[in-house]
Amino acid sequence: MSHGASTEEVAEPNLMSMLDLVLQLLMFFLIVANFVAEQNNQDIKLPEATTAVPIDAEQKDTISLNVDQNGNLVISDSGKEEAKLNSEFQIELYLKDTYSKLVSKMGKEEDVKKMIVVVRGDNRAEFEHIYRVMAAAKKANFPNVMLRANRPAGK
Amino acid sequence: MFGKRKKKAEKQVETDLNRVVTPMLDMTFQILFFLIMNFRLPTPEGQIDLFLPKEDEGSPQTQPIDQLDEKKEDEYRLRLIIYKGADENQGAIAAMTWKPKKTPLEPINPADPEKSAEGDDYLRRLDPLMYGLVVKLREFQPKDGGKQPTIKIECDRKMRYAELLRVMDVMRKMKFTNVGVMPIPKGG
Repeated sequence: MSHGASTEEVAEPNLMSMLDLVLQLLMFFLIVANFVAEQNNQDIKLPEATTAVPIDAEQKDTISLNVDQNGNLVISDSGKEEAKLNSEFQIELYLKDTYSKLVSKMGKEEDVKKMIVVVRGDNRAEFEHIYRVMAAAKKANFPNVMLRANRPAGK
Repeated sequence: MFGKRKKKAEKQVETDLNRVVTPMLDMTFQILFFLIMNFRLPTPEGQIDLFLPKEDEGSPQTQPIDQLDEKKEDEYRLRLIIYKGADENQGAIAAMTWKPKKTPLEPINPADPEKSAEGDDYLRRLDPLMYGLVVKLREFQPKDGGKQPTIKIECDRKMRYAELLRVMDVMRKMKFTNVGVMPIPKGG
């Protein structure tokens, strides 16, 4: 009869396999996590366009301009509070300022003119609000303007 | 005797390891929960190229717009007219006119066998107004390698932005790439 206290077995769940599984899930979510680009405002609901061309991964020289449903140009620079510009004058001034900052940073004016201004407009916004941003970009010496849209899944 | 002690030591190690793993598992669950809560399925974004006509074209004109258009070859204008009522259709396209000649585009049912041509599924799902545009565009469709006509879309300032993208989408589907947008000229 050896059923003494010394040989008593404690039933404990084996956590190793659970940990393996949880770490795998963690890895999945870390890799798939949508690390939002700083310039892209996620509150903006883009319209859909089946013919929108996929964004070239090498296309780095772009300036994203987010226009919300009320027609405000939303500026969210890192470390600063989000600003909303609502007048044509303010938008023009902001873009001209951006242009001169880029010229002093990049050195050549030609390089800045090659940059693409991508307008990310909310699908509920009015045309005049999108147009005034595009027109202001053109006035500020950014001749290349593109519209951003969601590509329907599977296209 | 020796075997019994070894077995006991092994059991001790296993129990200790479980104790170490528990806080790690707790922490991992917290991170996992955070990531799951913040997870957003990435939507694929794409870009649409367009050009903006010169500034003076958006300003009031002294000559009738049709006379100006006829001088330019391979340049067409599509005017988008919107609903202005205060209902859910406000800002949606109500009618379209095609210039030169300022022809109103006739809405066409995509299922109409007389007017419809072989198209892909996307064109068949269009509403009659958009399909009317498709039928009109077929008259001017550039052939492979042929010269691209210029199409300027004149939009009402209060039009919904999504409506413009719908028209641009049809244009690109019909292989028109030289497309510009502008507001309806004042007095036009």
